[in-house]
Amino acid sequence: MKRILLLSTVLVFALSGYIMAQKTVTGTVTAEEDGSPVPGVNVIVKGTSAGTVTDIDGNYQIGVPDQGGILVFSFIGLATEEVEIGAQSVINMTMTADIKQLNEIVVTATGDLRNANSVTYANQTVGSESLLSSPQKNTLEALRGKAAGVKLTTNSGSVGASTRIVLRGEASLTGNNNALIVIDGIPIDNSNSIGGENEGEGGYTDYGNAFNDLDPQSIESVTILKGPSATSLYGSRGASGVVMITTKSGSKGKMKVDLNTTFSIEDAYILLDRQEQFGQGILNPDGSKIFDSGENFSWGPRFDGITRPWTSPIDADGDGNLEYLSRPYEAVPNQLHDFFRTGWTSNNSLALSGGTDLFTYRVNYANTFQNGIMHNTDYERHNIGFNGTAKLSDKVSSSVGLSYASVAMNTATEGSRAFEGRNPYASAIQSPNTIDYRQVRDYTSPFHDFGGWYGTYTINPYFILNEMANTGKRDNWLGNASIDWKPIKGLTLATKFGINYTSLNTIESVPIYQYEDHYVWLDNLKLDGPRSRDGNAGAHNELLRSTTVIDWTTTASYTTEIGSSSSLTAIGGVNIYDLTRKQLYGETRGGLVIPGVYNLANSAQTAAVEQSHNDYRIIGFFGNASYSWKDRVYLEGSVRNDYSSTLPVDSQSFLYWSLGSSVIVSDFLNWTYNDPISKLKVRVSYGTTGKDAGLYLLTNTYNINPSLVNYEGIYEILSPFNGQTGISKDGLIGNNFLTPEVTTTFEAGTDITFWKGRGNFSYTYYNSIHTDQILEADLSRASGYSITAVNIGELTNKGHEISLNITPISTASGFDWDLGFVWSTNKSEVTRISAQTNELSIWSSGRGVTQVAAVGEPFGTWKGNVQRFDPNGNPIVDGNGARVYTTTPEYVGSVQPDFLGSITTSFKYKGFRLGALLDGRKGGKFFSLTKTAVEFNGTGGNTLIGDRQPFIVPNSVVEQSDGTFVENTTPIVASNYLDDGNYTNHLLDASFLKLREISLGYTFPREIVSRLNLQAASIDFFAKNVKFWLPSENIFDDPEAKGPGGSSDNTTGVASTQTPPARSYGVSLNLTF
Amino acid sequence: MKKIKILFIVVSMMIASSCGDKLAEINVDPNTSPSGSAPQVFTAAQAFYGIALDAYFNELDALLAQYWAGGPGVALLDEERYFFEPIDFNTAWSFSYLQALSDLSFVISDAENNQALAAAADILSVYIYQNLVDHYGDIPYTSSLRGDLSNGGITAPEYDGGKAVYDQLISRVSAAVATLADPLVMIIWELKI
Repeated sequence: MKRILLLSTVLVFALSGYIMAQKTVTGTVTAEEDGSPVPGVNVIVKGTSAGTVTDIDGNYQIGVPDQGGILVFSFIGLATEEVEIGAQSVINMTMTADIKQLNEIVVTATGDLRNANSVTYANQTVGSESLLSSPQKNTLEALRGKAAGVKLTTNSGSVGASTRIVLRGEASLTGNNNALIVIDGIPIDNSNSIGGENEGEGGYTDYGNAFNDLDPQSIESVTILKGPSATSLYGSRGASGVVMITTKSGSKGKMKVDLNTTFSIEDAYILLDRQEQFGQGILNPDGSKIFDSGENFSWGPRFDGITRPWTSPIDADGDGNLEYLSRPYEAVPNQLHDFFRTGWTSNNSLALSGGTDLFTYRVNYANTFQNGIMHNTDYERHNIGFNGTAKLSDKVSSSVGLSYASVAMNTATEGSRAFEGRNPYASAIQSPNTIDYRQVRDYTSPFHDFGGWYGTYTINPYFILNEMANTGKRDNWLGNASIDWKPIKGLTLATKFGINYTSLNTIESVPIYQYEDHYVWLDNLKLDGPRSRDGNAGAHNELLRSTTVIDWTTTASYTTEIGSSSSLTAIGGVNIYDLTRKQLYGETRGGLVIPGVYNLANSAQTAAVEQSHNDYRIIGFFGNASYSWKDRVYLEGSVRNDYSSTLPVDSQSFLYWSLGSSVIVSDFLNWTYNDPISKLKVRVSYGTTGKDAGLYLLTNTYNINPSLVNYEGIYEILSPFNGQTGISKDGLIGNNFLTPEVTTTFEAGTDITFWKGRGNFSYTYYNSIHTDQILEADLSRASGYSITAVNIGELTNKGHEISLNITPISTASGFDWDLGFVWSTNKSEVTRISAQTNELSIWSSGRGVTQVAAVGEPFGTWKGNVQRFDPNGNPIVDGNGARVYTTTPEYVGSVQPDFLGSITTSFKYKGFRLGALLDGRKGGKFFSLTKTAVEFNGTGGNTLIGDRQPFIVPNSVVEQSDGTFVENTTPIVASNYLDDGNYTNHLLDASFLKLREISLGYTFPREIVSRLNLQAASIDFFAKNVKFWLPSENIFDDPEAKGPGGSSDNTTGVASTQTPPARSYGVSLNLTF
Repeated sequence: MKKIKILFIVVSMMIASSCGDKLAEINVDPNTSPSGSAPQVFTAAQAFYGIALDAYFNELDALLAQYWAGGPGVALLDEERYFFEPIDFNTAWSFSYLQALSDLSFVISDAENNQALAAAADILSVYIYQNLVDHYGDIPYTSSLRGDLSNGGITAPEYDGGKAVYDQLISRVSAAVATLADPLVMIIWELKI
């Protein structure tokens, strides 16, 4: 074998030598840091396919043409070097590390790469090395801690949950505040898919959004664009900021194979604290307790450890006697944690890339399999992609990219209360702390089935998880093709065409079931009953939605030198963006006929069908001019005129512009690498961005066969009613005088490189005013209408963003300590809503607590009735001893944080890398429906007030009719004290500090790597969601859970029993051939 | 160079001019109808009001009556304990004005084509307004249902006194009854069906 290999190697060399070479060049390649030889370095003759690789000792030998010829030395992680061969026959080379290159190149809004110095706005580009410094399942997680002023939220811990990126604070009162996601220049459709058998209070099912479909391994860099000149080139859709993703393409060289495999296990991270002293039953106002084994209430007697029956007595074996299970009357340890299972995620990706002078390519395949922490939930994704560039001639080059992601998931309904919906986790929370999930998991056992199930008011959550389907499938195609033509020097004409086609199919079904009447155990083994229980006639629904986005941009750009020290680049272009969405939805009505057949034909009454079709198009003409003087002073201006289909014909066209400048002050002061500050750049920009309206707001319409009443998704009456068709006037008054929203931003900042390149500091101040906000304003129903879209609101966002990267320690022996800080604060204020009102409702909890946009307050302010105190600060109570609240609601805080910050740190030594990411936020409040649930049912850790005996609220007073206060003597029990009809107490501090990840990685040294014929190999061990620190009052929820709460996507800060986050531990292996 | 410039300008102007109308076409909602038809709108109004009466007005009335009658074993919800929520009053109001009365006003405005139906809509409107006065007291009447710009653009109507509304309702229903009593009107109606 060895001989054949040797023979063929010699043959290849001989042949190549015969074809090409007329002389031989040899040499040694060493590393600059320590002079050690570098094996495995690619040495090729530029423009040919002749190449070789340095051996163990760094030596190489290559045949080269007699005349001319350039040798190119390249190796991953080292700067590529080129040297003219000339007359030399021995060429040695020292290779230096390449890390700094990526920092200096940024991707601009027009998609081209530019020197960071010339950029006049706050621009943060995160390279793939930084993104994937520890393995990540999806792109959102990879962005954490890498850029300032970016609010990243995941809906929940469920598989495939939606994600949301908000840059610099919400810019739109009712519009979409999610940043625009652009992949390789094509804005993709990133809408959420939230459905659910029981949308609304009963819960929802989250099928994710397209951003999650991206394979993180194929990302080259992510650029976050926030400034006015950044977004004025993306038009209306970029008004909330742009996240620009560039995927990896091949590079010149022989074929490189990248292999990555990651595996991790997930363990539920339970944040909810449950009490472990009292069990099932009811608490009377006098403090006495009644045991009731069917209750979901845990207000019953104190635990005493005595074995008692807990399941409903049934004749399990048909012997005529009743059987039941018994267990000691005490709390189940780790009860909620054992509701979940250990999940796992596996991710594999393979990429082949390479190229020549004329073309490059990258092909990749990746798959992700995940078993969620909730039973029977899973997620599977396959990604296939191709990126290629080709130089068609001296003047023409082209590129093509195509990617396909196929996602399939089984997920669970989440959110809100257990009773009306089918939410397994909410059911788990509604259970008393004596229910052992490890036993109840066996949901087909007669003891936990329709007969023996203990509960009168709940059903077995494992029945929900295993028998009720919530399936989502998404196919996501993204393709782009572009051609660049450089007819004369300095002029480039380019056109880029892109398509994003996504199709979503969700299927949900509920089987026919009926829980039988059952008997429950009371005190002293007495039986009570029969009690009737929940059932369902069955249901099935299916949704088919397809969305096609077409984006076509044509640009002409011209660069010219002016004199010897200035240059001017001008770009002009046109962009057409078209979005079409079609949706078809069918659901059974009145239940299923035949059990187990999930098909719309199997509907007891005629199945209901809904169809909708949306079209949107926007055309924009844009121009950009940038001028640079001696690479020290830059001026940039851009302008864009959009024509949008959603605005009235007279105001379809709107113009916006921006102006910016950056000055490299350090060049004027002649500061260089050795000075304390080697680069000081100051930048300032000012500009406007426009945003168009939502769809179909301009005319009055009529709805044919409307829904007559829809009670929170639980029952619905549709037209035709009794066979009669109905047509109803729509409640929207069409407004044919709408104009676009305008955002005006002023931004200034500085970028400083100091300490010989070991430190980088960036600061940005911004001030944005969002005017003419298009709101769908609520109207008095007595006008015969309910809403109309008007330009009335005004919103401001001001803030600071800081990022600092330093390498405090960097020793000659190779030990490095890198530290990164990112910090941002945003002050949001609603400055105007309309002449008629100072407040707009965003979400309502249903018991007096609402989230509003109110003049003079930040966006997303909470409003509720607060507790009343007497002039001495004593709490006022009523005749029952319960707390008294104001009858007029007040503003009690908002969802907006005071600041967000992250710290990343890493230690490197000889191939080892230890890193951690800490992420935190301070301030803001969120509403915890979990707190509501566990105070209602007595399982919350804070329900032991007064040891469950009647107590007098400390220092409480009662108001007399004459306005004076006397000491209160009426006691109250914990259950009535907590469930007093007021929800303002459920607003909690949303601050947190999370140790998001710790990772330990090892990059195998070149000697070992090349011996295995690899170019690089590394292994990483990681742990995620390691530890959360929450304020002491938050023993309920993850404050980052977003939860729709209402139909507006802008509702944040409502935690409503979403699937909790999970800790994960895993290992990842990277090989490059 | 100049030719290319001219071509570029011409092409962009062509695109721009076709922009306006083509874009406007795209923004026509294909999921709804631009106009209504009186008989079906009348049906929708009836259906909506039926639900308002049954599920909201009558339910609240019945719950309060049940509480006052003090029957044994009656479960107490929030309403009987006077724990009223805005939703208890708003939904009935909304169904009455936004759904039922608004649709009926369309039928009334279409009187030339459907005189009999318009008169019936008048009578039903009176019935609804009367119920509103009985429950809420002072209600918007003369300036109600005029939110559309062509109708006055009144998005926050004034409240009229209950008695004033009753007086107007009585004369309105008398006029409508007289219309229906007209045999010619009924003949036209029968011919239509």
